[in-house]
Amino acid sequence: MQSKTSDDTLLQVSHLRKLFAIRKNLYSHPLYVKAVDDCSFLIRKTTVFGVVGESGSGKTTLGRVLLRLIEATSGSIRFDNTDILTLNTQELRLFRRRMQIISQDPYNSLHPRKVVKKLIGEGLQIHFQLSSQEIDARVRDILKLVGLREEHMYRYAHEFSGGQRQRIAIARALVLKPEFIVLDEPTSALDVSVQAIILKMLKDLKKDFALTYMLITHDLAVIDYMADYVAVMYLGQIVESGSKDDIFNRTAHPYTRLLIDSVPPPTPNEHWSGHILNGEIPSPIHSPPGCRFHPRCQQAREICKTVEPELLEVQPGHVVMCHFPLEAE
Amino acid sequence: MGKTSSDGKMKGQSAFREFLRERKPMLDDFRHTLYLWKKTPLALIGTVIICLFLLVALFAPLLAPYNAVATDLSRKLQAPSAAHPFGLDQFGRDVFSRVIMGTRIEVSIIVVISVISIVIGLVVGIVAGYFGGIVDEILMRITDIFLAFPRLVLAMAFAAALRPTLTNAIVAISLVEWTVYARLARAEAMKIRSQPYIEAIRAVGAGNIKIMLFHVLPMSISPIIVQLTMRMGTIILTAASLGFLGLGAQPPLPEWGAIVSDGRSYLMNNWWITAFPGMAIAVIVLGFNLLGDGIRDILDPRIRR
Amino acid sequence: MEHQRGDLLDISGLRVVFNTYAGQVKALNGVELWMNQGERLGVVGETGCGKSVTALSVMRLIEEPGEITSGSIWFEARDLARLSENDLNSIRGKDIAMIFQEPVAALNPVMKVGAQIIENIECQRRSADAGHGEDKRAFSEVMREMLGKVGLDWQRTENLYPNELSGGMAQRVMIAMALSSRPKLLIADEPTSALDVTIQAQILSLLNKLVRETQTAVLLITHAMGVAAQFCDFIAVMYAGNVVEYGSVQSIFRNPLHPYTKGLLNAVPKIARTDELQSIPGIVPDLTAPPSGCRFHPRCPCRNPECDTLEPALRSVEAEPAGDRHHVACFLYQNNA
Repeated sequence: MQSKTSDDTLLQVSHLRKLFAIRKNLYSHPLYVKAVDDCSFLIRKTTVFGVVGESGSGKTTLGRVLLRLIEATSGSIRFDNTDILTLNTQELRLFRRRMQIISQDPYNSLHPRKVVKKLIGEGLQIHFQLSSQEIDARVRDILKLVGLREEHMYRYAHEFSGGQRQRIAIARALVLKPEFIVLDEPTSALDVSVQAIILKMLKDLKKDFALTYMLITHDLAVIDYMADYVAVMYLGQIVESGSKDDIFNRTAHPYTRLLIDSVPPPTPNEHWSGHILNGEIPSPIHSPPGCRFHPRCQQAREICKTVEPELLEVQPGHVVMCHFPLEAE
Repeated sequence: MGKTSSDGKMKGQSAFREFLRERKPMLDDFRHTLYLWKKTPLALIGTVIICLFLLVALFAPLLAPYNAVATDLSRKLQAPSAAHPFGLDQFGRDVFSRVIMGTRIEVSIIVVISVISIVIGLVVGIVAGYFGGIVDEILMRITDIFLAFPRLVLAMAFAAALRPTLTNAIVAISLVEWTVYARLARAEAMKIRSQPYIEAIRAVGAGNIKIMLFHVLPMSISPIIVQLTMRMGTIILTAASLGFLGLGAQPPLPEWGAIVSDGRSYLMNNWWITAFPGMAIAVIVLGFNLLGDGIRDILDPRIRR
Repeated sequence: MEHQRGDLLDISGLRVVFNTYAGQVKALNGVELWMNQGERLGVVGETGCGKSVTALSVMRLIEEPGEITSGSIWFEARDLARLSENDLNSIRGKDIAMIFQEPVAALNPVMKVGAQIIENIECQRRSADAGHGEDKRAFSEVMREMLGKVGLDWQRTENLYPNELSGGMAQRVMIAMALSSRPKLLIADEPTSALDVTIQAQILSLLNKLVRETQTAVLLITHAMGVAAQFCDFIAVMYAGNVVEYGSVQSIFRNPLHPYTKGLLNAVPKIARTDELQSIPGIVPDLTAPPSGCRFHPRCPCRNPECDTLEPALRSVEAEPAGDRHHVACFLYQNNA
């Protein structure tokens, strides 16, 4: 686990936990979904930290807990050396400006009854004391930056295409001049060609404004394109994390291997294996004992069924949660 | 645009223009609603009836040919005639004038009950729906308690405890009516709260009260307005029933239910005392029901857009 | 009206419109598509290109306000566009089967899974042959065998309700139902788009194995280029209601000709790709008022004068080997503009 913080650390998360209680009826004991289970990681300034996983991995919850849109159960989140979990409402509001989110669903993340100018200007009104002219000017500028035009200011969200709506969402986040943006599947609902535009724009904006991103996605190709560091999540735990090179070229966890091998490459005849591992993703309520991946793991042994693995550092900065990490080729 | 002008009048004008520009889509929406309104016969008929009703209430003193409360026992129980289109009651009062003056009372009943029940309903419902958890539980149980009382029984209890007056009748009805809107508002608030755009606004830094007032409330209002229009008929009937039972408006107030009650014993031979206010009640309830149906029709296909 | 291009399916000049209150959406503008027995054709494209509409048209599942205005859909020796509902019902579910994107939604929520599969088998047998007096027990056997073939434990699964199934399990059930009649053609409309990556790999593997056994041809609709590249033998690229390029999966991916195909392939991110993603300028056209001539011309970097007046037809590219079946609908490659 990367425990050495340095001046270029923007976010340091330690032992973060989020449990959801599910009660079958009024009388039974609640069952817990361990959506985020003891996650720790570092995000360095101006890097893209990718979080990849499937359903039930907890990656979406992680993004929201980081911004305190969902309250964490325990742990700490140090943003620029302040633990934001200890802040009260007033103090938190100041931090909100610096940490923004762009969500997956371009069709529902914009208020259906407000014009674009209000959608983007709202944040400015909350955080800055600006006259309405100044707000106007800033909204105009930011719209230009994301490739939209002035007349779009007075339209409703439903008059735009999916890609344009994501641009509006990006504008809304950027106008506050944040330092950190959580991108939660920002292009999953978009067509391939539109995705290319949005991803390139996000890359350019990051360079121009010295932003730091957490990119949450299930698409490994997008991770390869955008991310510098990657964390792989499975049933609430980070099972492997390291640089992008580590994850793709020195894969250590069997699940990461399975994920990478499952992606059909968009080039014919590239020897795609497509595992028929007959295994369903387990429900996060009843996660398997020991190593959570053992029922689907080809190399599971006795110890994997009973003992939860520790985090091992296989290369500097590259950790994996496995009893028998894969050897690098 | 003249924004930099130091002329105060210019600034005011351009601010207004800006205000309109921001709301242009809303105005377009409104124009579209009006267009659909004109095309929906039910809504039009209902609107006409209600508008007439409101106009009569507004100009009542001018329209009523005679004093609604002055008695003249020498001329009691006259049948409808040219001079008295609705006849005279057992106290010699002109029924037509009483019905006309009664519209004012009906309007005030409707307005007061609507305002009280919607305000309470919205506050309780939105707070319960938005916060969820224990707040929701408590507020909903309170709502259930109020919902458990049948309106008339509650009014009678009120009348027994305090004096029976129109004000108390209005309070009694409001005390039960708000629960309907609270439930609706809660359902809407719960739906809206989980929408991504609300989460996005929280991420931008808006506080709970701001979100509830400026984002959740405007989105919850339309189903409540529709429901209100559809329940208006019931509200009027309830108020009239209370008046009929003597628990609401007290004589000599020309509340329609009370007038109907007045004519009860004379129904066989002097039908006009009961019939005309009764028909007035029927027409108004019909008007609101048609309007409510019409509004629902207008809003419904547009949601499919 | 040649139907010798493909001996299983040959769609020619298919036009479909949707009469909505917002105007007439000209969804399909003369689609040309064909395939042989046992082949796998992938139809790829972005939102609004018409790939799903094409798939639904084959089974004549297009309903109000949509309608087929012209064209032919030759399936073996019959034109499906002109068949009666009765005749179509003898083909649907038997010779041609279909699976959809949201498997749980396509199942009856109040019927157990086993019962639904049995009902499906009954429908197939009833009109295909006489099959009267077939025992319910015999159908049960078939159902259990099918569940086993798709990798499910029939003892557990046959008594579950659809909402108790995961996405992957539900899709396996759909595949079981679709393939139980050993259809000649399976139409799969985005069958794995709603599934997780690892589950998608399982389902594609399963499908691969099963259609080989039953020798079923597959018409796969997808927006995921990776899925098309790995699963299909031939690809048809659609844009705004037309097939703009058609050919073997090798020729399309290695040598794309149509400017849209090139743009599309350049926009797809890929693990270990080193060059920058390219995007296509402009946006997808509004099909109530589509561009004149070639529908791609407003966004095309290689536009010629005739492109905005004439519509290019899907023509064969002679320079390529015939086995590649490489066709493209673009004036850049046609000398007779």
